[in-house]
Amino acid sequence: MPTKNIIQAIRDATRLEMARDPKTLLIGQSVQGSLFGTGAGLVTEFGPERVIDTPLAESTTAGAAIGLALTGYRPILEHIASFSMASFEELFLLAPSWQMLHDQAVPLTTLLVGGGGSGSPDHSIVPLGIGLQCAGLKIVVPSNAYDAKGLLATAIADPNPVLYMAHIHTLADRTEVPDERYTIPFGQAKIVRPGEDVTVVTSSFGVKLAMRAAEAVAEDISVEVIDLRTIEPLDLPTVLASVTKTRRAVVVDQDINRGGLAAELAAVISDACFETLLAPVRRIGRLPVPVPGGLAGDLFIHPNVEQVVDAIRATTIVAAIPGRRG
Amino acid sequence: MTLTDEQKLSLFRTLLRACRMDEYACRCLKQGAIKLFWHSSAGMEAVGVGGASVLAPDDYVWYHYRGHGLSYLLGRGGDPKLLFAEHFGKASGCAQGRSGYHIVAPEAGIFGFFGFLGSGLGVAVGYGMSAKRRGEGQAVLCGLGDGTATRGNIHESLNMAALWRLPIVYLCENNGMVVHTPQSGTYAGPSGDYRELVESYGIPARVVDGQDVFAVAEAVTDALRHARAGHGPVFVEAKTFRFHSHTEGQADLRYSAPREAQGLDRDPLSIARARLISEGLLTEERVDALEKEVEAEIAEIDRFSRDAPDFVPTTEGLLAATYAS
Repeated sequence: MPTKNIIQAIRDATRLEMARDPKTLLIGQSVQGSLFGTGAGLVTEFGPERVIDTPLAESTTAGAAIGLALTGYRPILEHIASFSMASFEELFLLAPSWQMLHDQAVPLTTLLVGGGGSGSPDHSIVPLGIGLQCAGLKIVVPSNAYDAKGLLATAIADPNPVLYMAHIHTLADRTEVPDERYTIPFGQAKIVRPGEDVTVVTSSFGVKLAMRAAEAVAEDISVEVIDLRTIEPLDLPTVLASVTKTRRAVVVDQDINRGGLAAELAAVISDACFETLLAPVRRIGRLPVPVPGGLAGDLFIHPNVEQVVDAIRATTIVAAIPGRRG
Repeated sequence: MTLTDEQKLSLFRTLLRACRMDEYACRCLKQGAIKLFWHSSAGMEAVGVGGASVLAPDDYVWYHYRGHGLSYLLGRGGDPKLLFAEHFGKASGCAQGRSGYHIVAPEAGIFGFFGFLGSGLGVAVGYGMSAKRRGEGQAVLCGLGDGTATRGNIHESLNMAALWRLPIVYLCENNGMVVHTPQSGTYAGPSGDYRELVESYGIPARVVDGQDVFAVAEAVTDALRHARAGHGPVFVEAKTFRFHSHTEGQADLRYSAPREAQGLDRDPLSIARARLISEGLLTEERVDALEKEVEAEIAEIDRFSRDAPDFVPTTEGLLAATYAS
């Protein structure tokens, strides 16, 4: 089976959807030339009427994508992840609210390429916590190329607004990816590493960190790693079943540690598993400061393997009540 | 172009309905029947009525917020009962009571609204792109105000509409007042018209008397013809007046503009009536009869809206209403 990276997987899925549905359009700045390669060559195959370069005008472009979605089209709106903030009102207020307010579907897929990293907030926002707080916006965070392709197909077919983000540090990794079309349902987390002692819940680039951390402690701690794949809808049953089994949880998020997915999951897990937890839920996210540019971002601000290892170990150093250790 | 007698009479009737229903809405707000707010379009009804009445059945509409789209809905032949039921918080409202004041009328080409003025200028571009690629001659009516026209989105929207020759007719309801600030305090354009801004994109701009429903209808008809022929967008600026305060129930707080009767002698309904009577198309008796019909229609709206069951939110219901299936 061929191996592909996330960029190629995204391109695959986009191409297959555009081939099967003439109402599917790719819209954004320089999508014809394809800045990241996610749409490379698609304009040659489908023409500039379907692969549409827009002026530098994020707000109205996103509004236009909503207008197209309301009137029979399926737009894929591509942004460099951070620049989605320039169309905040359209992507995070209008689109997610439209169904509740008007009972009119907005089948808009917003493809965010390259969140995270060290390019300061103008290049390195991870708009996931913000997306969660909107309500009405589905949020997809593939960690690998195989998932990326199946999840994007599902996103494009979904009648709702979907925020799909491919983290910058996941773009190059290769996995086996079939050539044909397939879908991966939303709200289905994957246990990517089974374990007994502690559950690490994560997504996106956090999966790689968690797997490395799990390897690092493997001699004395058996770590179960869950890849959420979508954070809205969230596969809570899988998460809670795992934590009920292991009785310890660490949440690793790529977004700011405050008020986002990590905080939300920690609260939900603590609430649901209060009786069985042996330690407080640990959460790891970005330091709650604006992301500085340059390497300070990657090397210091964002989650790293050492932090995950420390958190795993911290959950096992507990004044355990005698007899309760399973 | 010239309107036919039938068109003129139809415009008058729609205008009469718009004016009386706006008055009705103001009463309902004060009675507490309207739950949220009402931004009266008293004085401005001829703009939405004139513009929306001359659209083709499958055209798309983004309405200007003042009047909550009432004039546009009536011009499109839509059902005002559903607008009022929505404002009354009823489950039978056009948005099931879940928006409170937006119009949803897909058969009239109205797919919702949003109160961030300027966001609709983007959605209208999408409607225009949709109309153009479908290739069936559809056009878009995009309402906006003079306040909306100073937001950044206007530049993006006009630019994209011109660049791609989108079939959009922008209908700017310029009442010279942005909430409580006179337009002169908000807009740097040398003439006070938006003409210079619009023409800089190569888009034809037309200024029309917004108190004259027939003039607005003619201007928008011409603009639609231009747009449908593939020549791109047109901007129709209708000069009009806001007779009431910004939001019904609040005092008119305009500070720096003189507080004389702002165009009260240019009431659109009186102008239309006088014109049609002078042309022999209407008589006083006929007008009285029409007033009675509209009164009866409003009574029916009132009965429908008050009797309808309230929208009662439940957690399960709201969760289910968040996503389309």
